[in-house]
Amino acid sequence: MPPDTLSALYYIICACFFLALVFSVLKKIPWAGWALSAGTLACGAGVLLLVITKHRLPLYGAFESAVYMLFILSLLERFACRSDELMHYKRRTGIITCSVMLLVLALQINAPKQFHHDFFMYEDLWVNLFFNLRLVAAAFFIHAAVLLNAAAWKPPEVHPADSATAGPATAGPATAGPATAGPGAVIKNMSFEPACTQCHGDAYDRETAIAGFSTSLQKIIMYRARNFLLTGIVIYLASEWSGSLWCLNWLGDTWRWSGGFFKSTVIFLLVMASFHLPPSFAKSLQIRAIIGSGPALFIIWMIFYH
Amino acid sequence: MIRKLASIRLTFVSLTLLLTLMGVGIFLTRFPEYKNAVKAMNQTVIYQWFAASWRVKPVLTAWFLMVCLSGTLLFINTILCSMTTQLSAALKIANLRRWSFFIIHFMFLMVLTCHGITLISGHKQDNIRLFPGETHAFGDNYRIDILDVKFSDNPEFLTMDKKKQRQMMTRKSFHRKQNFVKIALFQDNRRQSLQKVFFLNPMKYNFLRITVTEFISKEINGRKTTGVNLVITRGFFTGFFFTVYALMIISMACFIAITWKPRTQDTHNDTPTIHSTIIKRN
Repeated sequence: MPPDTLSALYYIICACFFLALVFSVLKKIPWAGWALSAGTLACGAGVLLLVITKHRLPLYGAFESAVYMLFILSLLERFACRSDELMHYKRRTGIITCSVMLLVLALQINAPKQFHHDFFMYEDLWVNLFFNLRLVAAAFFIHAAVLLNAAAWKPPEVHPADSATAGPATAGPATAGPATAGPGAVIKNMSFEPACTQCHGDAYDRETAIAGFSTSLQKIIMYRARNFLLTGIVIYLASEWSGSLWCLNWLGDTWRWSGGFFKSTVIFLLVMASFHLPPSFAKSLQIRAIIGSGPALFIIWMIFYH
Repeated sequence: MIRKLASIRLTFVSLTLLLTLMGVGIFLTRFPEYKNAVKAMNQTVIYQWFAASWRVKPVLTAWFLMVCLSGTLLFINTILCSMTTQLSAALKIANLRRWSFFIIHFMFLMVLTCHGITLISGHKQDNIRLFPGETHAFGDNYRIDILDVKFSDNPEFLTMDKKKQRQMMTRKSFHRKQNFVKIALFQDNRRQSLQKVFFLNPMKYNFLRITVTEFISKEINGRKTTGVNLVITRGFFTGFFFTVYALMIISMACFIAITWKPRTQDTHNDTPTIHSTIIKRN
């Protein structure tokens, strides 16, 4: 492999994600998608290079951890964010994801662009699962944090169309005209179903209905974030299970009193705290977003500053 | 009282307490004095360390005690919440969601129990440095004899510092299975097992494990001799621990699959529902 291959790859990845960020800010969503896909391919090429040249999966070391983690994260952003509800948040998740990716890449700017040196333990299955699944879990935690912060701080922009033809909604199903919801999306055939006509009366105005729709969208995205945070912790625990087995075979015990093990425990506790908020905290989307971002922030610190 | 002990508020408090204590632990290990003291916690079973360290390292011992107490609080909270709230909810309206929710917490309790048991049971001896021909007695009339130590790779690996070893001992330069120690295990002077032990392949007999953690060398009569650094552990619940840990992970995965799609109350409020179809994307 030519000596500057990895440096060139690093700058290509940076350029792709930077362009994706710029296009997202400029509301050119399809162009942002293309740039993100290019970044994903570049990261994938990095992973493939590692597998071919080093005959192993991405495991450890700042550069290969960053490339692999961003590969998974960009795949999640590209393919997991294709649902209809997420169309309203596409720009926001794109901006936040690309910003995080550029931050992770910025942490590597002065670090050597090289794969981690080999180690005889890398032939062991449990070692591979421990390190590799940890990086996958990190990507899921970051994606969950992106969704939480995209939804929690401001409802999505849902605008009624200029040519809206429907009047105020009445009790029972009624049809409204087309309405735009977010850049590039058109919603048609909106029907209004009052949940409780006795409580709210027979008539509803469009603004109230759209506000309700926005709030529902927020909740849907918060729920998606919850799904990805849970998935992340399952992957992380699978990594820890493998790590415990490795520790047992290498050092004779499943647990070691050491800084590394304490850090691993912190990740688990942070995720558990996110799912066990007292009612006063759980009511606030912002508090949920802050606490739910904890695992992502800590695991980035753990992987790149450990 | 039971309602307070089973409350989610107490769960959050105990998790926050444990988080803080882990943070303190991470901070302490930045200082060499405490880093070595924490490392010493791994040399014996923890209750033996606790009894000996109270006078020598009071700060670390107090920290450890607080970790145990916080863990106990979390355990009590989880068991009460599981039995009073989750189990009764699952029995009242038996659906997959509620049962899987209860099972996750039950499995977590099992894992926590195993962690607690390892603190007060078992046997551990670290840093047992032996050369060929030497023996070591331990436990219930057990004895290990080092019959032979074979180190086929570069002997310079034995004298390198840990950091250099990590860089030099690659999959090509270090052949794990070709560097081994032959150990004979005796109980009441009767040989119970004879095995080649190498890195990541400990000797196992009943609940006993003899793990080689390092190859070492010294000069005997002007000749360099290779020996080993061993750890002897005995844990009755190791297999059970890994089983319940795996079951906990599987139950969490099942819970995610069951609850992937939200219920109406998870995503809608009591304002009018809008049903919409996105028909065009520009």
